[in-house]
Amino acid sequence: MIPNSSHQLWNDLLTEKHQPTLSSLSLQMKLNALKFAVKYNKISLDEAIEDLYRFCANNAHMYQKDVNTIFNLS
Amino acid sequence: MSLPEVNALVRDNHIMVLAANENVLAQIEKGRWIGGTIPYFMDVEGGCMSNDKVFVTDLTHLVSDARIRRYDDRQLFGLTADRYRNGFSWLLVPGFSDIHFRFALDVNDYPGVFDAPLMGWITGVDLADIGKVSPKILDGESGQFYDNRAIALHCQLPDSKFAKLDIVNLFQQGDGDIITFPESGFSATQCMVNGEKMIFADYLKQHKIDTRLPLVANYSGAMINISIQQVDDGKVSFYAPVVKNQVYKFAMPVKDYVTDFKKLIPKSTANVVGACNCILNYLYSDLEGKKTGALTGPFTFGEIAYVLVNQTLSVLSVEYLV
Repeated sequence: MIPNSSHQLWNDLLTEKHQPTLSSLSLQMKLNALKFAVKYNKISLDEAIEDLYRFCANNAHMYQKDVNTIFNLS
Repeated sequence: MSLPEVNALVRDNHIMVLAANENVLAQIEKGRWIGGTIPYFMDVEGGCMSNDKVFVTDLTHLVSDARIRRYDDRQLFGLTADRYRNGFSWLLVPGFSDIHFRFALDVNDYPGVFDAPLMGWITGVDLADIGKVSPKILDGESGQFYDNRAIALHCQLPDSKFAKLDIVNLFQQGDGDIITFPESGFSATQCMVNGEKMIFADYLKQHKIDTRLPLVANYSGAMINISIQQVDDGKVSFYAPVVKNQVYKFAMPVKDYVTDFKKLIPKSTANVVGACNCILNYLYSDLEGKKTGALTGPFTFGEIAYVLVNQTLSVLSVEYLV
């Protein structure tokens, strides 16, 4: 289960207010790229949230463990 | 493997990534394989150099389909469009070439680059031949060598499986200065140290930095290394590009590479498809003849784990969907 893109923690993740320890290399790389893009105004924060949400939702079998960590799901 | 053993696999239509020196690769028959020049390997018996053996990554029984594509430096941006919906890509790029530099600088901007594993390595040569012989890739289908083209083996997986790319990096950011660079590139003159503009070469000298230690960036938890190639006339060259505005710190020293490495490699390697390690780890940690566990592969002039990294082990695995 991937929490909806309106969940505040997606925002916190991209703005580094929430910095959980992730295990998937591709998710770490993707997140870093999106944080960079937002920081240097290449895309908006809302666009980055949607992109990150879709990335996780489309590959839930790979990222569910990290998503559980991000959202404190059991 | 020996040359006759590899040629037997080629005749049997195996889908493979091959690593060997140029003379050996030239004797392999045409088939469904890609190759890169490199004579250094991490073997089950330990690190070694070989001028007559071939390191074989055989993907035949794992993939449901595969296609080989060559790219020049303008075409490489389209690499991700050639991937399968479910699978991975194995990319070989000739070291010290324009396409090596282009790839490393642009890969972060390839559309959807993190959507599927992009594994691979930068090809090399005998260290004694650097500057005399160019590293190359070889297209097994045509039998042609290139020192200015990259080559990818795009692999499709059945829907019951998925590929996963990981890195094993012994280096962690130290607790020293925060270093940033005003431009992305394979070399730097200026940098910012804790926000203060400095000449990077002067900084290295003044702080007696051990340049065998990489600069380490924290990519949301993934430690990405950039190794220093040389310091020359005020300019510092790197084996992979520093990224503008990315925060770097010099790595903490590693006391015993082999011991620490064995602690970090996956306990089970049953799902591992292939791996590659950095020639600098081979050199700086004196790995010749030393066993580094069950993971095997070439020691390369740069590892591709989506982006170009240094002093890192890249590991590709394929797992079943649960």
